Amino acid sequence: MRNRRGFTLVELMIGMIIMLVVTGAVYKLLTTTQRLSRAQAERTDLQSNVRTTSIVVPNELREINTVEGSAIASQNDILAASGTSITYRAMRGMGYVCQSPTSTDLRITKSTFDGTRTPVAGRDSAYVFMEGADPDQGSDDTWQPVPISAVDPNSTCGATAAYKFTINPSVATLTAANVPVGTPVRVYEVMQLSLYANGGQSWLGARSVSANEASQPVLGPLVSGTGLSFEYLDKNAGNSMGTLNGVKTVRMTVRGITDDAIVTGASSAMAHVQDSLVSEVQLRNAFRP
Amino acid sequence: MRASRVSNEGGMALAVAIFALVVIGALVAGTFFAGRLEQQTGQNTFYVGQAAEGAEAALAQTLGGSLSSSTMLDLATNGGSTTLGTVSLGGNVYGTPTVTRLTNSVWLVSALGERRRPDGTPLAQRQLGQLIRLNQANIKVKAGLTAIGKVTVSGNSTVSGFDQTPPQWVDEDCPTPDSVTGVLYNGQLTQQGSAVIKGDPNRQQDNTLTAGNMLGGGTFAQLKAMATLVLTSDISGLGPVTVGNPPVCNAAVQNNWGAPTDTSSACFDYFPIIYHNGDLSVSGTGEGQGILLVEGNLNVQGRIDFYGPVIVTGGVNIRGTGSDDVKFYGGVMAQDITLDDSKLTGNAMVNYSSCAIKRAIQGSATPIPLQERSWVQLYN
Repeated sequence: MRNRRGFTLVELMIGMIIMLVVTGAVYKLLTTTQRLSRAQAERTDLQSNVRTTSIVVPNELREINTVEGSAIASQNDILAASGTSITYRAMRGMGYVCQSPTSTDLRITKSTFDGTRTPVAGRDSAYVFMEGADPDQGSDDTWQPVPISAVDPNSTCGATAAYKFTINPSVATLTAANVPVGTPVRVYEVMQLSLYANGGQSWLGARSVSANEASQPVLGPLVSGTGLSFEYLDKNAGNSMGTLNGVKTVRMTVRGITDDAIVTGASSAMAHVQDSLVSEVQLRNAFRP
Repeated sequence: MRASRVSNEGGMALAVAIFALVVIGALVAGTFFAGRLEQQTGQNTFYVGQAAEGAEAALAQTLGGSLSSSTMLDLATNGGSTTLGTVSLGGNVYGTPTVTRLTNSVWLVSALGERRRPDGTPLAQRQLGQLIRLNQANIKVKAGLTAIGKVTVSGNSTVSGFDQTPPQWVDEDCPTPDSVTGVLYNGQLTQQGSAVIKGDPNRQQDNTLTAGNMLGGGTFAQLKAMATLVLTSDISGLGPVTVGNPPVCNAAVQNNWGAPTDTSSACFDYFPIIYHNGDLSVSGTGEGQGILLVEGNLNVQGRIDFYGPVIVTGGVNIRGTGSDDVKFYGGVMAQDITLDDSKLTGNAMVNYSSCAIKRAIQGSATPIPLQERSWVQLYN
């Protein structure tokens, strides 16, 4: 008995209690740290979503052209607008005519085409710059809308690689006299940005109207109902929703929300956190009159 | 005994503590990493924004004065290009514009904006473009002298509608000569003494001629708005003035109206749009070029040569005295709103010159964006 070693029951109990306390404290520390880490990641995603939306949408809208006056309505790129959506002509690239066009055949140099992607038939249309009757004056210049029914990416202008646009229906004003070599051509598609709801959440939705696509979520999640809103301002910063050809500035408000509930503040209460950003997009091609 | 008891002690507190520290450390490191990533993303976005500002500044500076019409017109159509000076905004933000001529009348300014490191390495780039053209005075000169009201051509003065190119401009891009009417008038034309009126035809009365349609397109108010040299007093003597080395034409001097016949002068390509509100008297000796707008009557005497259109809302009184000639190459238009007579006396001479008109109109033109769809985001 003298050589027996061991712990008494009391010692064991005390040891277990201490172990429990220490383990509990470590567990608490771990869970708290994990929650804070997760909250941080969620907040990062939230801010990233809001910031990216405020970059992507202005980049889309900045090139919009508006002109006051009904006689030149075809030059107004905002086709429809509401508080939560905008339908517009989105510029996708610019090229230069490389040989005299006909009413059904327009070719642009491939190497100098500059855009976000190559032109696509069924999705894209074009505007061709038209010099007015007086070549010394700019007040009679305009851009001729041109429908593109087919794109041949392997065409040529002489020995120069070119995109060939087949135009259907034909455009009679596309002639060698009206459209000299070098004339700029702007390629566009009709797009719609809107607040898109799916699966109980809302997103920045985008769709190609000209390609007849369904809306796809691009960025989010955003706050349901109010996650994306647009205001349309005229030259005096007044509301121009009813007169879209007078829009000079689009004000966009993005309200993002975390995907999951996260800890907020010092308490352990869990909630979805929101953040918002307001951006004003000056339409760079809306300086007339 | 104590040592052996210690060595035999068991337990896992240290292992638990180390495990906990590792886990907590990993979580904290992950949080820091995410935060750092976010901060870097934000900073890169900021850099891209700065690069865009650099490109915008380069576009603005190009259109605001650093690009001259002569630079634009010297470029070959369908691809001729030139890179202008880099614009620095401070804070390592730069913009470099390049001008490319697309057609006879359309150019593209593409501006590469950069946010650089202090050593010059680019951190972010953004390219923007602007389609531009020349904003030219809208003037169509139809005669050597176009006038409303009473017109008197007397003495040894000459009015010619035969297209004449000044001999110093043999290398300039002048249009094919095409003669016009000598005197086109709505009112009364009197020819006295040895005065000569010639042209194709030498004279023509046009009762439809008014101050509103005389300019052939634009209005006096539109031209006035384009003025680049506003006179504050009468002018006595004309001559080019340069500053610096290499010399640059000094556009701030009131009696510097360019150097039309001195091809080596820095003012040879300087074509001011000169405006004076009220009657203007020009006397003395010298020569000038551009577009002269007078909202009142114009009195010229001495040995003055002027190359370009002259438009006066009142009457003109041009007096060549003795051997001192007054010569106008281009065309003179007197709207005679105040019904003052227009008189050419002495050795005064008005010669129609399509080349002088073209050079003055193109040389005084300024780059402006196309009125629609001019601004473009570039990606190549």
